Amino acid sequence: MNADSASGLSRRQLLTSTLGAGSALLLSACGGNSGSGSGDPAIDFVNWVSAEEATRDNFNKVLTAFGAEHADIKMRNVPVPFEQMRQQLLTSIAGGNAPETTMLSHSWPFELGPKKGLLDLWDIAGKDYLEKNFFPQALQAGEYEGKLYALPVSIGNHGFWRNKKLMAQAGLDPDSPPKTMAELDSQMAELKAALGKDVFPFALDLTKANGALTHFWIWLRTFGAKPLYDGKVNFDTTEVGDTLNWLRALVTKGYCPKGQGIREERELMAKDRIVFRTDGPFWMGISRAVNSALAGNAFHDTFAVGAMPVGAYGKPVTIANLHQAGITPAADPKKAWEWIKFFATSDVSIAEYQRPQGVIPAYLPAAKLPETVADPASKAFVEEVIPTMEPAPFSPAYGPAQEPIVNAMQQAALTDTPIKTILADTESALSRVYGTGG
Amino acid sequence: MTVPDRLRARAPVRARTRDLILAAALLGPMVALLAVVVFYPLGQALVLSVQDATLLGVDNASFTGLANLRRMLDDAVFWEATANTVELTALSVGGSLVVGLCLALLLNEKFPFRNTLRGLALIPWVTSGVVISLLSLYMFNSEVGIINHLLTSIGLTGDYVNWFGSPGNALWAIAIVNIWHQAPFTMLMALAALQTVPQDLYESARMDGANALQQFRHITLPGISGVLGVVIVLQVAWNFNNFDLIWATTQGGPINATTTLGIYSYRAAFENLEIGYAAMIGLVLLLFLLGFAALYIRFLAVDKEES
Repeated sequence: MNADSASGLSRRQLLTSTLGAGSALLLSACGGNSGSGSGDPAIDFVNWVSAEEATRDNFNKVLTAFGAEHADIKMRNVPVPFEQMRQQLLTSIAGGNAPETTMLSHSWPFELGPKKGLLDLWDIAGKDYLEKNFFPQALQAGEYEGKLYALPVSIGNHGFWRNKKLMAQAGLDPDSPPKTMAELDSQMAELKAALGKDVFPFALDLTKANGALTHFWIWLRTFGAKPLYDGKVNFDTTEVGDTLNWLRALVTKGYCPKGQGIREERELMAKDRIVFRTDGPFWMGISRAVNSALAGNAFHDTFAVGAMPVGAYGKPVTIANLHQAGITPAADPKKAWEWIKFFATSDVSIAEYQRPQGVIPAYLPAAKLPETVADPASKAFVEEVIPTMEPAPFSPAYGPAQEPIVNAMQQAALTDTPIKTILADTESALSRVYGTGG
Repeated sequence: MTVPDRLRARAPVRARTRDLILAAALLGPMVALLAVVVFYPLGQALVLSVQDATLLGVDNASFTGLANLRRMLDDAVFWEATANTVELTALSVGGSLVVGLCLALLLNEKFPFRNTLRGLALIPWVTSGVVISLLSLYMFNSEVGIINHLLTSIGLTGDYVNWFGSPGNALWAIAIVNIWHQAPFTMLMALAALQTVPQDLYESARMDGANALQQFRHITLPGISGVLGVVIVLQVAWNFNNFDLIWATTQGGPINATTTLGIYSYRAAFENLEIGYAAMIGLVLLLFLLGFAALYIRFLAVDKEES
């Protein structure tokens, strides 16, 4: 009895099946994505909010409402965790498999736009409409070389949060936050002396690139430093040196916990172990998720937010930190615009998705609604913080520039390498990235 | 009736041809699959490594010869990453070998609940890398982590240790987690090998007055060295490629203290978008791993000959 007959297959049948299976395997391996670019009428929307439990349900309400209003436009939701968004967007666009629409943040519009990965929204939506209806600083944060690559959806830029209870406990007036850097330094010294080693007067994420730089850039600007703006490196300057020296002092004096990422810092702050921190308006929701005792007004009894203390820059400043949306060349621009406009401006998006998230709508008519500024923190954001917002120095080279800057921060905070050496080395590394010598 | 010579000569040729066709049909799909998922990407990586390709500009890349190789050899971070890779691999493999072997020797003894303990000891190895990474982030947290709590409770350290956030400690913290994660595999393999060592050798040694250490050195170790060799080679390859734990905990920081070749290659490709340079780093990593793969195959061959 041979093997073939034992299995009930003739040699010919076995051969045919094997070849068939092999061909199918090859075809499936070589085949393209069934979605984008294959004549499928659905519009893909790649986003992280439907990948996160906290925002998924509210986002789905927006998607359902859009479907009900636009029967002619079929949407396909593509959830991707935030940490993987940039990489997945870059690889899908590089591979010619771009989604039609996508959520954007950080420097992504500046990396994708100039490489023809995103369409110019000034052309699609009209400059007049956009300038009339969106915060001008929020639009600036998506514009590069005269083209608008990202529609601002919601504003999550950072304000200066304080724990009022801890301030009062240390004998400070909780309603008088530090207005200048000198006041901040003096209050941190008082807080450290009064509250002991388990409470940190201040926190700054020094661990990973995205979180660290989002927070740190605000302090660089506060000290009057302007690295990477206008395509110039400008890192080896007195102002950057002052910022790094200040950062080193924070750590050596024990004002700032070491080795804590943004998630851990938020947990510590929600549990009354950090007094001052920069964070977005969504800190309200996050803190309540971490510590249920902060529900309702308890949050506002404990925390308050305001504009940044004033340093050498001469005025309070914060850096644009937005959730945006963009359209890729794979899309039918009209239909894609209908969707991202709905996502940014519709009543259902404002009421059911943006406001519950704790962010401020970038759509001006919604930001001015009484419901948006109903609580003291949101009011402070709209009235005090957002007007101080400036764009980050995003450009196509910003991605590779992050690593040398985070290294400089970490060297200043965690080693005793002379600040002068850090400045010179980082200037040189950034010059290579920006192609300006070095 | 006699079969003509001509036909008799043809019969084996026909059979061989049929066998060849069948072999080709059976192997073809696998070869095709390997060509698509291994050889084609490898060829692409080779091509990219001699180009100035960026992730969003692969089509416009131009041939730059050995420019990426020269850049890599002049790149201080590449050498730092190479040193970190070797150091982390040595610490992790060495540590898991010692811990795993000790566990195997312990669990080879007869005592109550031995089988239950053998099963429990495997838990770290069967836990997914992502879960291990998240767990270790909390366990090694400098402010609220259980490790610091334990160390200060028993008086080993006066103050909390900054594990992942310190350039001096981060690589050690990752190595400790690696050892915890990988030691059960060494234990499992060593335990299996221990069953093959003849018990009469121990009896003879005891009769000759050999103590436990001498028995271990002259009987146990030679008896399981073939398996340990395979384990070492496999673990070296895994640790060279280790990515998820490092990325989830430190992303290669602080100040490149935990940047390994895998992390550096990933950062070059997906943060700096320099896919050509990343391909060159990837090829170096591949060469290291091919070397270990050759060693592995050699160990297997020697082991087979011995058995």
